[in-house]
Order: sequence, then structure tokens, then C-alpha cells
Amino acid sequence: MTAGRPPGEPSPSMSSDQTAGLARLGYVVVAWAFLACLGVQLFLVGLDIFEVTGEDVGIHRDFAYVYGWLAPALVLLGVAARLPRRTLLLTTALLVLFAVQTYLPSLADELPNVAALHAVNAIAVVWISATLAVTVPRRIGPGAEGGGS
Amino acid sequence: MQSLRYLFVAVAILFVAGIAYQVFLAGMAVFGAGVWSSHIDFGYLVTIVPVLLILTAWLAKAGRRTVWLSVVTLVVAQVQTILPWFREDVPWISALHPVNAMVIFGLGIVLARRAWVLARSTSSAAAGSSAPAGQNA
Repeated sequence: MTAGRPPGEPSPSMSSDQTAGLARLGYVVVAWAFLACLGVQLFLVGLDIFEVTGEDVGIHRDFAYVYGWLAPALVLLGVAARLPRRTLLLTTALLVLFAVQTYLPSLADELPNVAALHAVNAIAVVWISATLAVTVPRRIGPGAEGGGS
Repeated sequence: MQSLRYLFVAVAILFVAGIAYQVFLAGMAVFGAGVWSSHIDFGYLVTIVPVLLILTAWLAKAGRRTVWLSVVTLVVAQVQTILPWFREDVPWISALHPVNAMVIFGLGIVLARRAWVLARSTSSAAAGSSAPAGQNA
């Protein structure tokens, strides 16, 4: 299949492989950054609950919009990195749950019981985020099988 | 022994479910659908469960590491009940309460997984060792 190409010339797929490699590195960095932001976010809600910052939940809410873009970025990086299908599904689930998370507090007046799931959904978001941050570097590291399945 | 290992699984799952319910109670209080006393009262109940985790892990011969992990879970769970006490003097320490809750949940998940793997591996080993015996008989 390589007939006609001088020895040493990079294969046509080299460029896309490099892109996938960079995307994988980016995915791991963003996954850990997202998890760290969730930790900060939990601390901020603690500050709100214990009234360190007063009754206003503004800091907690605003900070979510600061790092929220990392969730769709993870999906894009996951696709570019050609991660395994299961990892991509989990990353997409994280994005969906994060979107739901931002929506739930808006139901506080009409359906406070449903809005209360905001706290439970936070567990799911942290759990998936931690799972991705810990397991993906293992799966894509040296010696790991290639993705795409 | 096998039944003790499944008991360990049951206690670990119960603990994880209890933490999730406890977080839901907190959400109910935050959004005005419940009261903080429910969260506080259930909190004292659920943070005792790690004592059962230690006991069942030890009885199930889950290994030193798992037993110690259960001890760590008990300590972290007790710290959780103490954190709100700092509300007046050092409120930022109290603010670690939700962060610590996630740590407890994570420890619960790790223990539940370990318990499940232990119970299943023992089941498989028992099935594996009984099959050749049956063939030889």
C-alpha cells in the first residue's frame, strides 16, 4: 500500500494521528480541570449554605457558568481524540446531566421537590466526571488498546 | 462466609443509598421543600452505618485494606457531622461540608465495588472448584 512513497516520508494519516493525540491530551487536562472546578463549586455552595457569603447564591451560580463550557469541550475533544464509544457516551451523559443541573434550580418555586434533585444530580455529575478523569488516562495511555470501538 | 460477603455488599449499597438520600434531604431544605432538621437527624443515623461496614468487612474477611478503608469512611463520616459546628467561628471550614459529602459518597462507592467484586469472585471460585469435583465424582 505504500508503494511509490519514498522511505521516511510521513504517512498521510500521521497528521490525523497527531491531532487525535493532542485531543487526547487535551481531554485529560480538561477532564481534571472540570473535576477540580466541581470541587470548588461544592465549596462555594458550602459558603452559601453556611452564609459566609450571605444569603445570595450568586457566586455558586455564576461560577457554574464560568467553567460550564468545559463540558461541551470534553465532548468535542472526545470525538477528536477518537475515544472509545462508551467513553464518548459517558462524556455526553456528563454534558446532559450538567445541562439538567443548571435547569433544576429554576423549578424551585413551582416544583421544589424536583428542584431538590439539584443536590442529588450533583453527585452524578461529580461521579461521572471523576470516573472519566481517572479511567480515561489509563485507557489511552501507553500500552492501552486504541479506541474507536 | 459467602453470606457474610453478600451482607457486606448489602451494607455498602445501603450506605451509598443513604448518602444519596441525605443529599436529597439537603436539596429539599435548600429549595424550601423540606426542613434542615430532617437532614440533620438522618445524617446522624447514616454516619453510624460505617461501623457496620467495618464489622461486615472484617467478618467477610475482605482484607486489611478494605477494612481500613471502612475505618477511614467512618472517620470522614464523623468529621462530616462535626464540620457544621464551626459555622460561627470558622465558617469556611463548615463550607467544606458538601465537599466532604462527595468524598464520603466516593468512599462508599469504592467499598461497594470492592464488596461486590469480593462476593462475585468467591462465587466464581466456588463454582469453578465444584465443577471439576463433580466431574471426578
